[in-house]
Amino acid sequence: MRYTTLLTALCATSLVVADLSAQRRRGRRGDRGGPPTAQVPTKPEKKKAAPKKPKPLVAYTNATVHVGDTTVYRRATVLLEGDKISEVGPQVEIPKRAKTIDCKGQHICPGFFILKGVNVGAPRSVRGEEKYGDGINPFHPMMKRALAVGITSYLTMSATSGKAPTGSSAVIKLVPGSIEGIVVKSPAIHAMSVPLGPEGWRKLKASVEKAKKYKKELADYEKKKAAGDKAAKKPKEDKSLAALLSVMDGKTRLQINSSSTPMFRSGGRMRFGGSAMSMRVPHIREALQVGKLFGAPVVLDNPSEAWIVADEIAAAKGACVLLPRSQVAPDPKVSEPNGSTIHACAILSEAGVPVAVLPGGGMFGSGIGNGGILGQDLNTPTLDPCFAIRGGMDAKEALSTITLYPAMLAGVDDRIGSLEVGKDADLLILDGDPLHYKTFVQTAVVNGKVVYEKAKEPFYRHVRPRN
Amino acid sequence: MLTLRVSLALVAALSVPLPVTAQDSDVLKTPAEKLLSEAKATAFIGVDVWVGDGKKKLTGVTVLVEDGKVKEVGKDLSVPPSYERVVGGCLTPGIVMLGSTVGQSGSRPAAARSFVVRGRRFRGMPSRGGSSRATYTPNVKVTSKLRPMDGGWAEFLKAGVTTHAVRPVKSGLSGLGGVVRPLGRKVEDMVLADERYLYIGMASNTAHKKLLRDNFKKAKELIEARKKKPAAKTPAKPATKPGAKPTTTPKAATTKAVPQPKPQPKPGGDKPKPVQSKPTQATPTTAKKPAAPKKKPEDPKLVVLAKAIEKKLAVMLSINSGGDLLHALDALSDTDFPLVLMHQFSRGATDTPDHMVAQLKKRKVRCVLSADLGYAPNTRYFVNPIAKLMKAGVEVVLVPGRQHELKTLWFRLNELARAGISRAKLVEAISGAPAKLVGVQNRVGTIAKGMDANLLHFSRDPFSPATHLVRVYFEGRAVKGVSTKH
Repeated sequence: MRYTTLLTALCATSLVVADLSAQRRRGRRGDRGGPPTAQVPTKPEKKKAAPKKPKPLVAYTNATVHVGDTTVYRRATVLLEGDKISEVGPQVEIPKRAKTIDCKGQHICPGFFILKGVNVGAPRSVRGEEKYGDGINPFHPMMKRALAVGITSYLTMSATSGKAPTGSSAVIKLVPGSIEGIVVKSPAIHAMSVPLGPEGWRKLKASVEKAKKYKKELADYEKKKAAGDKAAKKPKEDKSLAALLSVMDGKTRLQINSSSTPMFRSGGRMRFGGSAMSMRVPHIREALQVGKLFGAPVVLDNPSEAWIVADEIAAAKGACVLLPRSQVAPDPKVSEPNGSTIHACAILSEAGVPVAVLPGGGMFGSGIGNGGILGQDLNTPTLDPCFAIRGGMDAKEALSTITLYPAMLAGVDDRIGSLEVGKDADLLILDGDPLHYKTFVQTAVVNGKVVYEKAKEPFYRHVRPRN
Repeated sequence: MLTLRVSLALVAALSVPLPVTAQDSDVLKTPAEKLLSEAKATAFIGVDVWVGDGKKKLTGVTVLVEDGKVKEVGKDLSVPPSYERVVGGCLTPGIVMLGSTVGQSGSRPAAARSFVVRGRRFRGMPSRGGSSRATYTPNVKVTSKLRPMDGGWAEFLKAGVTTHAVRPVKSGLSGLGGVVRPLGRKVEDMVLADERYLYIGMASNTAHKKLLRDNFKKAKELIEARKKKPAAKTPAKPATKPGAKPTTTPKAATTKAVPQPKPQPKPGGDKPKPVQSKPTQATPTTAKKPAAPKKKPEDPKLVVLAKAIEKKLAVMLSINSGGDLLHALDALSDTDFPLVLMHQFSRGATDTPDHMVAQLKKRKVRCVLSADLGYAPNTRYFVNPIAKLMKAGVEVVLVPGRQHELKTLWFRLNELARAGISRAKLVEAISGAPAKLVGVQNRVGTIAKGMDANLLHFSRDPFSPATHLVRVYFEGRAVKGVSTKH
């Protein structure tokens, strides 16, 4: 009897341990899958039934391929089938009908995904029945400019500082001249602010109770309906709870920011980014509490002191959007560590927290756009990952801060963010390492189509190719 | 009986002196009327004439104008001594401005308008793109909203606009456009042709797309329902074609530009002939059908849309950006009626319709564009979207970019001429072509015998910056004050 119990306990423990390690790999660090040599690219699923018109095949060969999850293949091939990635790796068999493009000496990486894009063709917010896809301006002059620096998709979201999840958002692809296949997900993120205050917490808890009750009633109704009970009544939907329910069900992510004393706010457009809206330790802890209440992990927006509580965030499976260039000076009167540090990205990623980076916001809120001084942020999306490297982050992982990690944060990593089989064919062909300052995007491909070529567009065609 | 007599006498007594005072009084004159001098028979001798039909200019001809009409155009014409003589210079037809919003409330020239966005005050034209309010009044005639006393008529007349193809101001399916002359104390006096096109003011948002998709679908269902009905009950009536009726304007067989909708409206209902024609009447008053007692009357709004689907009514799609066009084409993908596309883009726009030539040709779209240059995408290099469209075989009509840019219209045309478009084509694009597009080409738009004498008299070649506009003639009457001295 004793032996049996012991055996059962042992089995259970080993199972848990195995599971934990799997969780750690997947949840916190992205699906890295071990060292590059050990990784064998999974074979793509074969097409079920051959369609009438086979999708075009394009093979980019001989390139250094940065998958986006820190894996790098030398002399590898990326095979695209229509608008999806069909195969990636050093030993890809290229079908005869595929169009082959030799990328010798060039690098291929996933298109950059910027967690907040402003004024790049999509509306900032939509209301009521409106949809982001119907408000896109596919001829927006900034689209090609963004593609020229490697941004292939971005998150657009309304600025929110409510005491409960609200706001509209969408993950948008940059496809100039087209209104098809551009919205990846909408809504992707709902946002709210801390601190809530006692009254805010009371209301939030009441809303969560309400939402839980509704969910239970809905489940009961579904059960009854399935059992054939015609008298079953569908519980009434409360529209004010829609965002909350969506977050609780994991359909959308919850982003929490700090609403501490913005100096002016007009229609939600202008707000203080950078230091004024950064999250201090109490804010971060409160945000994690909110996540716990909802039963959903949270995305912390500009937590300048996250590095101090990195383990707490990791334990709560939280994620961070950091502004490596933005500084919050420590308060000399406080004895505990406080303020921002350039090492934040490195510390958090060591702790297993996915980190996405954005340029420091300044007056117009954090995000990549054509605002600020001459719209510089739009031209330099790789500057912030470089700052993360300067602060000690692994150089390979730094690429993930503008590719895979933001995609995970927005819940779209099943489609974009890395060059994995079955994901969307959004990639960049570069003349050097993606984060090197002398590198230029040669070609940008979105949904399998070439949408930018350096030689054909006015931005950088005068810059001679690197040798 | 006595009271009736008394009241009749009173009415008679009151009504006799009134017209006299009204005619004499300057107070009752419209601003445009005040600008016009007395009609005189005039002879333009030795002038160069851009006829406005896209053909080469006539040089050194004589143009005789009498009773507000062009009496004769030709060389070596004898000029009667009673004629006032104007020697030399150059004549072009008066401008026919498509998409005009003059005379409607809330349509002051854009330059004078200021608007507020998020607390900041701007001057100029507010962007319509952000608004999700889509009007649904497709059966409302824009002419019913015009104000004859509006000062805008006079201002535009001074700048050379002698015919306005008016459009509704609001976005959405907001009404039926008409053609008016800028003179008249009553709207009826102004209207040259009414219900010429259905106006769609497009904005990139779900509300507008849904409006188009849903209502054209309903209109299609209406057509289907009609097809089922008359086969059984009223087999004879549908043979009459409402589109085949002549308008009040004199018309020749060459009218093929726009499917003509229906005659000029008769608000008084003097002539009951439209009642018989078909239930496709826009005005609810004429929607009486004799042989359908139980049937529900057709929704007048859908009736208008059905006309558009049946290609009996032209459709003008107004956009603010290239994206609007793609969204509109997406929303209208279930229909196949031809479109007239209006894009009053601002100078240096990069989303002009020439980037969508394939879509335009597929849908047989004719374009009404700003007489202006655009930028090559992402540069400050000027490009010529109009020339590109013309070369691609798309019909193009020109309008001033924004209404307040009217004064620089000829300078813009000069730039387009420098960019390689023939000058005859350019003159046609602001006069003959728009007139044809709205079906009034037999009255205005060209300088030919029998046409209204709407003339712009320039000192020399109108395209040259050294030239100035000497005088505008509206129906043979000289307009006092010239506003476009370059």
